[in-house]
Amino acid sequence: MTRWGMVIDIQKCIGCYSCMISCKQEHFLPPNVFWNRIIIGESGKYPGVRKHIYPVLCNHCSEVPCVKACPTGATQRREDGIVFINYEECMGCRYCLVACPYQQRTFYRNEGEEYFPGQGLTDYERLGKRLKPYQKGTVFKCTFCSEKIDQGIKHGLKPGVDLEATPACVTACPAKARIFGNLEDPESEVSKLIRTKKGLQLHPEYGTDPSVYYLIY
Amino acid sequence: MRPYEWMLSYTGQKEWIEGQGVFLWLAFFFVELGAGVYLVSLFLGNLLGMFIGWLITLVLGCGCHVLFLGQPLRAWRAFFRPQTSWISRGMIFVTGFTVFGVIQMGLLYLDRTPWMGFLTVLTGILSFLVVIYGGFAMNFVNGIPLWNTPLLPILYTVASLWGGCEVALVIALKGRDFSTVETIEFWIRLLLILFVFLVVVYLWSVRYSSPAGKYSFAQLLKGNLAWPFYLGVVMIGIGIPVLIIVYALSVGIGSMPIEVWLFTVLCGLAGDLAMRYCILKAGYYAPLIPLSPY
Repeated sequence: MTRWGMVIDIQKCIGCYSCMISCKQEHFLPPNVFWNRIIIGESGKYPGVRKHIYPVLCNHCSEVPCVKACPTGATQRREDGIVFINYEECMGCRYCLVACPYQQRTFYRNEGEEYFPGQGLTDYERLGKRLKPYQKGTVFKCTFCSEKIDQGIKHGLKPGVDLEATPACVTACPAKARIFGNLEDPESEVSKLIRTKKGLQLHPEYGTDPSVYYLIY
Repeated sequence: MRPYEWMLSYTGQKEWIEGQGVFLWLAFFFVELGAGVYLVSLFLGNLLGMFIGWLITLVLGCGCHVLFLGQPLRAWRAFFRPQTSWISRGMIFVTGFTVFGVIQMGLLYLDRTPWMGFLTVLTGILSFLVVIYGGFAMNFVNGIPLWNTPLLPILYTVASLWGGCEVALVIALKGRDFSTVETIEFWIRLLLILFVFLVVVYLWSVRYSSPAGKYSFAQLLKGNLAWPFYLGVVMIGIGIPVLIIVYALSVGIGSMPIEVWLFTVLCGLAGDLAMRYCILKAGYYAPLIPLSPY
């Protein structure tokens, strides 16, 4: 059995936004759309202020509210735990978006938006429209780079170990704060880290059982 | 909001109330109001009321739903996921209601009675399901404590039946059917009292449900939604109808001019609409991480 998951070591994250940018680049995301985010907060008061940096993305939950909410079956969960959207079937009701307690989905409404308004599309944007034809009026979100994973496995590579088969945000992280692997395999690095360093999920009270864990020690 | 501030503090849902989301607010209102009118008229045996309720659901309610959807031509797919999705269930209920409703009204109009008992039960159940599904669809969202309470579907159901009675009252007044007017007016009084009681209990329960629920409660009563709440829900939706009904009871219901009743009905419907707006707008998610805003 396979259940792809991610561990994010908060102490190692330096807040460089590499994951955010690499994700946008990998998936040719339109302006103002982020599948990966770095959120930055503060706690305490001067002089004892602490800055907290949390990378967040779709949690690819095991108990998926978005899949249950979807009225057309466009949002589905694969056997390996990756939650994906079939854009051809999405009717744009945004129930999944509202049902996600982590708010990691985006409704694609501005099809014509350019990175440099009024100057036309760049070569990169034109290429993106050809390779990733996102549909206006549908919802999209992080795919855990499932295309890379699937291609990698087809070529005998191991996701989480071989860079070609690992999500872009993981390979781009210069601090190695993100680790990817199989949560069902007790010998995988992610499972060991969750076990030994007590990995935490975001808002476990929602009962969604996310596949993204955080190491906060 | 900058990308690094995403979900750092309480974040309001926008997709179902801002921009194109306004259509969903109106869609839920009209679909449920129409079904409420149909149900009340079915109970009273008023064919005109049934037709008006059916029309409100089909034209205004379904029309707004279509305007809301990003890809409306794919809406037919929503018939096949009733196992888990309330939107899918709602689509089936609304379709069943509009189809069997028109059959029932057609047979009634032609004065034919085959299957009428069965059709009455069926359309009664279907219109009731249409009335309740919106509340359950919102109740499913466990990230928003204001919605994730079993009181919400009950509140929406009462509000829709109340609206249904109000529209049925106008129809009865127009037809000068004063015995029906008295019956409906009695139901309006009961539902209004129940509505006020439910609003208070609902808000009270949300206040103590979770920090995000408390935040929503504060936004409704003291924050940026205080104006629509006090003016729309409390004053126009509850205050004015209560005052007019109390006055009507003191001088005799039959002696009240029709225009005053019309005004009361409009106030009641505006109050229902304002309540739905406030509940959609005050739906806040808890922060992703337990920190103060940057």
